[in-house]
Amino acid sequence: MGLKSWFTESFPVDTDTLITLSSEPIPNHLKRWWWGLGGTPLFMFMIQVITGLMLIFYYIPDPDKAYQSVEYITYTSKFGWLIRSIHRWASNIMIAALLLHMLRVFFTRTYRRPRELNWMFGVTLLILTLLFGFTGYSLVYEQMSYWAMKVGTGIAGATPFIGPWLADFIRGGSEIGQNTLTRFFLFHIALLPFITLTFVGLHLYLIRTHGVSELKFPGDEKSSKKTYPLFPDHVYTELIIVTFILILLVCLSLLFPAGLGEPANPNVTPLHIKPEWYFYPVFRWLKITNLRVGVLGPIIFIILLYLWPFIDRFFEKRFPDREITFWIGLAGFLTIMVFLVWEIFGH
Amino acid sequence: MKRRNFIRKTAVSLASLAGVVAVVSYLRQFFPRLAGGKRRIPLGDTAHFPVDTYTFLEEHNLFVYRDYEGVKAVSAVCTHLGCILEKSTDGFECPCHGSCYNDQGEVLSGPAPRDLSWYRVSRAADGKVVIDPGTIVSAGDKFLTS
Ligand code: HEM
Ligand code: FES
Repeated sequence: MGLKSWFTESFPVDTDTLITLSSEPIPNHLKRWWWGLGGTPLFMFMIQVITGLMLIFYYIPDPDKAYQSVEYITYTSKFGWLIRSIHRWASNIMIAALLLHMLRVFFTRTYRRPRELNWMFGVTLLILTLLFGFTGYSLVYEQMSYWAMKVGTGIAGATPFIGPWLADFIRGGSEIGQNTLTRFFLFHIALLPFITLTFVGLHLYLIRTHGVSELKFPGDEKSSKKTYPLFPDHVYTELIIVTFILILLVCLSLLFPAGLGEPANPNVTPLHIKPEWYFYPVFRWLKITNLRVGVLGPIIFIILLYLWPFIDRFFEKRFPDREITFWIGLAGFLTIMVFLVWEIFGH
Repeated sequence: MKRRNFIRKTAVSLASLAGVVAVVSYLRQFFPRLAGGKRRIPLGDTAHFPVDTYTFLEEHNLFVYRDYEGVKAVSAVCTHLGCILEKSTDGFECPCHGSCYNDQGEVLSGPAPRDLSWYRVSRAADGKVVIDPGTIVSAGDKFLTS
């Protein structure tokens, strides 16, 4: 028996089905890569899984050893600094790509019926990715990590009703310590990846069943067909993006490798603490409001984000010929940008 | 009620109860009981503290103030989200979101929701001067040394 027939017998997959599945028709507008930004976070997620696995080989989730183990990865282990830097940079690019993907979905209004649920899955993915950032940053156990944990769990503790309970759950007690680090590690390498994969699966499944919304551009009428196949045409576009991002990642990691601050000291808050840039708007918001409003604000924002497709429909029905939701969205987006820039330049 | 029904209902109720207990105790496992008892902090000889100054006790996260009359102790933990305060010229300042407190620990500005806590300083039974972080006193209360 030849190898091929042995294989098809032991692993009976229908190649025809595979071909149909992989040549899923894609609307023509996705030939413009900036409309297909959803693939980028997916790729970044894969990079995070690979580099993350490599980092776990040396990382030790113990308050007394975590910092040293990161130091070891950065300065002693072979190419550890590169793996770590790529992991760091990819997290930033993943969040940036997610925000762009979300903006494109938002402003092309493709979250509308029947895709409301998929928008909500998307918001969940955004939150999960932010949680990845928060827990990952904390693992380094440098000063900034420690105080980010302190402020972050403090915010959780100020959530109405479930706050104290939530904070104790995240910390594994009333103070930050071994339990907290164990939990953050577990969240970062097991729970979050598992939940994220589930939601990515749901997200992609719904995209396939609904199909990507078709957008019309001038010039598209020229081609007779409205769609083109996922494989090989769209995969080719994605490959170009992937190549570009890989080059970008390596360049960024070479030019700005991930550094290491002072080790965590629970008794001294460093003078200028700042979170990662994607938390800047919330950070600024916390500074200018009191504790209650500071915590309620982001929660309400997230709820509105989840409900956006329905809010959009409501306004659409009420005021059919005015683009109210577009202006609300733009105003919201600009406000967040103002907060972000304010935090970059303010003190 | 038939005998059979009675037995069935009792069995179902007991099984559900067991299920609830199992789930609750399973969830309970995620909330460790950590002894967070506030222990008294011995101050040693109060004469060691510089006069008219707030001295930061690093491992206890509090400031001890001493003047010619006596000693008092104030928490150095920001009431907003728990960062450790810095002494500023006429009060305390938080490096995290910029809350400012005056010398009395009262919030002047920023997002902090509450004033700082002052802890009781007293002489324990064994004659040592101790801070009791479990007992809150007003900013004016001093442990008189002279
Ligand atoms: C790990 C995170 C995510 C991955 C891997 C992902 C992946 C994708 C992909 C591959 C598409 C196909 C179309 C395109 O590429 O633009 C898509 C569409 C979509 N995404 Fe995402 N996405 C993620 C997060 C989000 C977020 C944060 C939102 C919004 C809150 C969102 C909402 C949507 C919606 C509503 C569609 C359908 C758009 C249409 O049919 O035109 N996704 N996503
Ligand atoms: S923790 Fe002090 S101002 Fe936020």
